Amino acid sequence: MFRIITVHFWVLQGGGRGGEKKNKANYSPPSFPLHSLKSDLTLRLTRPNKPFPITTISHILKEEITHRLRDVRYDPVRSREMTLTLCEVIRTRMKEFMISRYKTVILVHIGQLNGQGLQISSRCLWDPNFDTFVSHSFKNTSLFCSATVYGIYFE
Amino acid sequence: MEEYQNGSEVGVGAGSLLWFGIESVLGGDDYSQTHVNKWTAAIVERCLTQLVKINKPYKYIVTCSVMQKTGAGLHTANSCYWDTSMDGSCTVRWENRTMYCVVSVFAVCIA
Repeated sequence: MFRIITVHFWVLQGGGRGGEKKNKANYSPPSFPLHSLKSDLTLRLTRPNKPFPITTISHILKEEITHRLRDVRYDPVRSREMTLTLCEVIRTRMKEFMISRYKTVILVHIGQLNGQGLQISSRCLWDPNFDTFVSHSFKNTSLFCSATVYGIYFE
Repeated sequence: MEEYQNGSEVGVGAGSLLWFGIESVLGGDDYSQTHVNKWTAAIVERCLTQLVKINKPYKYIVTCSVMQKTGAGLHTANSCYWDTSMDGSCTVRWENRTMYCVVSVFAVCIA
């Protein structure tokens, strides 16, 4: 990982002839070669290059969940495996996007429909300018599925 | 019952913190459809507030699921793409006579 530091030297020239005040900022290039500033750490202080692809991930969630659960009846053993499979598959597909500097957390719930009440809530302490989440829910006659992907920008 | 996946410093303390967060909101109550929204909001709020007090350089995601006991099954799984040496998670399962509650916290290191 590389850190590129660009150093700008600003020279302010003030003063001038008596009675006249001029403020002039001049840029003078650094007096040593820039390549000597490259070191082995990365630090990016600005925003991410590419935003988190919310729409694409939403499509991925919808596609994977519908494809795998459309006509499936709830079964304890299979549903347990399916939650793990879905997590892995979603993570693999997201890695294809090479979303740099984003860490991801994927959460999948699969449950049986039995007339019970269920509430899933979440709250996050993060930077709302860069961090976000995508969620998709699915239901058929015997089961429901809820998948959420959180994208956290690594500053 | 608690489960940890760790490199993070949040670790063992997070488990008891989450447990007390749940107990303080749900302890002694029966499942109620009218109150469950308020309960889950209170649990995540309380847990997040306690985590912030630890004062570590982490971003946190706290999720809470409350399900009524009717004999139905529920499976939850998570998968994370992060720095395994610095980031971690903790999941706590709680239950009483009428409901289950599963709370997970994911701690992601900042730089």
